[in-house]
Amino acid sequence: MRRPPFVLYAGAAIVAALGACALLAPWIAPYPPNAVDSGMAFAPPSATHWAGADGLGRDVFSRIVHGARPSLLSAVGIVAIGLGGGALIGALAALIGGATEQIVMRVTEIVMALPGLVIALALTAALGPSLVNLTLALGVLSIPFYVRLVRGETLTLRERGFVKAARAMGAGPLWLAVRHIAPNLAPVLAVYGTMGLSGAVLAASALSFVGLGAQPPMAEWGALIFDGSQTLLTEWWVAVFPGIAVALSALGFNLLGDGLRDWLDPRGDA
Amino acid sequence: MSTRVVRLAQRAGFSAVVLLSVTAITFAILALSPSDPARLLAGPQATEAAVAQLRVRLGLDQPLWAQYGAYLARVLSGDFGVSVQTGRPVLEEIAARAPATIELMTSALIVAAAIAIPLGVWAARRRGGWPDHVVRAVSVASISMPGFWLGMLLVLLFYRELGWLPANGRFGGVEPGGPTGILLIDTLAAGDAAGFIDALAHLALPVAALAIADIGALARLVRAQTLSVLSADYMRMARASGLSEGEAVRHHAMRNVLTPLVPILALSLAQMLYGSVVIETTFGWPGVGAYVVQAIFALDYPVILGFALIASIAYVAFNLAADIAQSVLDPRIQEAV
Repeated sequence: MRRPPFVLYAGAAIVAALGACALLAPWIAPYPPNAVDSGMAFAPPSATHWAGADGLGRDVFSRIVHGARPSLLSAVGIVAIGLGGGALIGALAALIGGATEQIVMRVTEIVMALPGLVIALALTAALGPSLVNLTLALGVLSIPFYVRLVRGETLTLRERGFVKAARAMGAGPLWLAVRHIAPNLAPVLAVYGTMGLSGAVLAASALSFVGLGAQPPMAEWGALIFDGSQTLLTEWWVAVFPGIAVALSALGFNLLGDGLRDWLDPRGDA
Repeated sequence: MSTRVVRLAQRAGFSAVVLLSVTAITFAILALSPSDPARLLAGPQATEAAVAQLRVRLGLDQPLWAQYGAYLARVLSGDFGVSVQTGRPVLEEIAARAPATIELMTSALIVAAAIAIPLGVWAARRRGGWPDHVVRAVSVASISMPGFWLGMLLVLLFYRELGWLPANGRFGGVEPGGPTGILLIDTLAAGDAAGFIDALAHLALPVAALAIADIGALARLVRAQTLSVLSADYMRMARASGLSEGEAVRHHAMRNVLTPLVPILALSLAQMLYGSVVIETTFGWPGVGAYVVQAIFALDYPVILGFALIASIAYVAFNLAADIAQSVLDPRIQEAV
């Protein structure tokens, strides 16, 4: 196998750093995320508060570090639901074939013809604004994309010798999907899943920004940006620094996905 | 010709099925939502008995499929419900704010295409060279950028620091009335140069924030499309007959690069329908998106779902129009959707 491209290392480094923030937040952040200190209200960035403090005197840097947990967890949840559900449905549809496949693909087509994020927005509002409901809504609405991808890939795998052999030995669709299709699709799913994480971080933070996701006082990046947007012109740091975390994680996942694709599939040039 | 008509009829039929599904989805979401229309209408002081009576009158005691039938009939007659906050019909409220959003989205779509198409073609023509790398870097940066946050950075730079551009609203002072509600067109039609410039200045920052994510995605697609066109036989033929590379690209390649982009621009619209919700909030843009965010904070379900329904209808209609436009532009397209 070729040497991995540079962007793969760059992306992996960014993602690893953010993952470390999420896992080790209490040890990295200098303050607890919700420690109120009225004396420090709207303190500008300084040696004690690297990214300044918000209106309640909470340390913005600490809130960003702790915010990595809900923000990245919801992104992972969105992709896990979309990719996991989509891959299973797509592979089973292709393996079962017939009317089942037709129905699944028609439904997929219909859902893909809708403005998904707008529907996700309405669905989250109806379920009740919270980060969990937001993750569910965005996850479910991303299922059709993965169904189409995995069904297409499975259709070609279906005709390969090892799948036909397993089928001749009496393997059912579920067994085939899990034991024979999934391992062969792992590289493709790794690429699309990683890029999906980038979109998920952006979508989740945007919907949290408009009040559909994390509710106060939870330190989630989109909610932090909304918090800071109220006093943007006077205390810019409250909104600007959490945005860097969102942009950086989206960039990290995109670079990692790009790098993985170049590395695993050198013919692809999109 | 006849295959094309059949194809378009199939396409229109599919759009109708999609629209029917949208109503089913919004109805299901409404049924899921914790709001009780009877309680909302009767007010918090009403007795349980009065609410129950109202529930019967509104048909809320009927089975779900019957309620869906009634809902569908209302939607088809243009009744999208009544805003809980203002008591006015949702359709009226959204229509009043639609021109502001249409102006914002159309401008962003034009700006995104005007930047992304030359970038993509440039990258493809210099494949592997430094322009290709620059465009790739720009694309990755743009698709990783949270637009609403970029909007704030632009406000800080161009409004707070430099004072060059306004950061809030569509117009300085009272909006000039006009037949279309699109300020750029109305001021131009009225010969109001100062007003036109003012409207343009107010558009600049929100358009930049809304267009950014699309530029990267679009530039990538244009690059891929241009690469496939550049290696086509008719391009080899054009070069062999003595045209310079530039002439060959202008006269033979561009049309085939641009035509497939028509349906892709429709996909960009989906991104912008949702992006406008967030961006309008950042910039206090008095459009549908900012209105929906207010409705979200007030949990005004009829407005949220009315928006989802109307946005979906607009999106499906735009997609259908884009498909028809493409099949007119490119007569080779005959395969079923």
